Amino acid sequence: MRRIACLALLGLAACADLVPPRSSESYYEYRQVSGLDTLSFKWLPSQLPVKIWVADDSPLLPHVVTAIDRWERAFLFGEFRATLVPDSNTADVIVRNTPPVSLLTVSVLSAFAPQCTGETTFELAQGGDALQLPWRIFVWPASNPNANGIETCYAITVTHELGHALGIINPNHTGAQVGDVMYRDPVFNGISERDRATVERLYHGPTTLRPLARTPNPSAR
Amino acid sequence: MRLSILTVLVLAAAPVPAAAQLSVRVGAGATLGNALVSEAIVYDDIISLKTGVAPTLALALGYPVAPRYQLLLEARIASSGMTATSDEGDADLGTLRTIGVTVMAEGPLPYGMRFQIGGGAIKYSPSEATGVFLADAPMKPMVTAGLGWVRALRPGLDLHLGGRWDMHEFTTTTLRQRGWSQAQRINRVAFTIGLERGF
Repeated sequence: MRRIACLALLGLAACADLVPPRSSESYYEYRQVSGLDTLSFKWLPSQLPVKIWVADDSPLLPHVVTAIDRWERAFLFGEFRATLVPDSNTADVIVRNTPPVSLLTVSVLSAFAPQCTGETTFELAQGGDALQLPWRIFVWPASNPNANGIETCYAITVTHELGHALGIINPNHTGAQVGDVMYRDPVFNGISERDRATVERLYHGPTTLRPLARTPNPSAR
Repeated sequence: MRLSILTVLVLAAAPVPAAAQLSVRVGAGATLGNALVSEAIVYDDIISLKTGVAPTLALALGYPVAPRYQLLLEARIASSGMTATSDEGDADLGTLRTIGVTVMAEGPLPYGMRFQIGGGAIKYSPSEATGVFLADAPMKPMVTAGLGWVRALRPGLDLHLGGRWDMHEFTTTTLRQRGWSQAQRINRVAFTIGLERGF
């Protein structure tokens, strides 16, 4: 009887583990193939939370908050977290409600929706093995800033552009489908299962680019 | 008013424990458990979700059921940091609090020792409803056993040192929704020091 009790206790105390799902094949291309190089980027735990700046009076502000929440919820283990900061000079990601000024030295990732347009730009550091922070996100009205549906367009486009800043940097949006927020002309207002599987794949695999901290510029704002 | 009179009558009719029947035990200590997610392979990465040493508070009510045996109803709160570790580093995920409620039988052992054995439930309460706790903070059944050592300080007041093991199985709705199967068996040990007062 005592032996049975001991065996029962050992059985109870024995290890049993959660079993993760099989690796999903339902993701799209997130890397950028540039010549012979394949570029990929993700934020590392030591760089979290990612610091994002958007002007207090920007109509994009609530949509940036929503987009951060959406992408954070895509992860199980805190792989991405972001916070708003009051000073653009300290930001890792800068979001503006204007078209970009100059695109001479940067890589451009675009999205087109009916009422608004978005672009995300990043710059490779010399040597090509690092990404010079900050990311710059531009989302602006296609014509009328008060157009019907502009808020929905902002919500979709800001989520899309923030997806680029997470590391989905394939310029052609290869493999993304109409039901994904990372589709080239996005219409889905949220994060799809394929979007989620793609960032999970990205954040649990090797990447080639490391973020290079920006040099503070006291006059920038 | 009618309800108040009825309440008083019900309380008056209820069996009142004789003197020195009930006891109250309060204690403080620490709890340590194994990882909530242990070295799971996710694509090219190995992920664990760990909690640290958790400061613990315990409150128990004892009710004698036989000479030197009593039933214990106990509540325990433990709170610690939660960290996800991967090949890329550690991510701080805030605080995780657990609240355990158990019913145990306690009986005598030699040298002033006591044993406890019983079961109950454990409720998870993370500081943020994110990650594996996005959809819910689960409550799970658990079993527990322990040893205590008692020394009288003065009549009606004892010093109590306790060691406790408990076990439950952990998973969440979010993990299941995302295809994780089975459950993580969580073994925890706790040590407390406290006072026991008889009434």
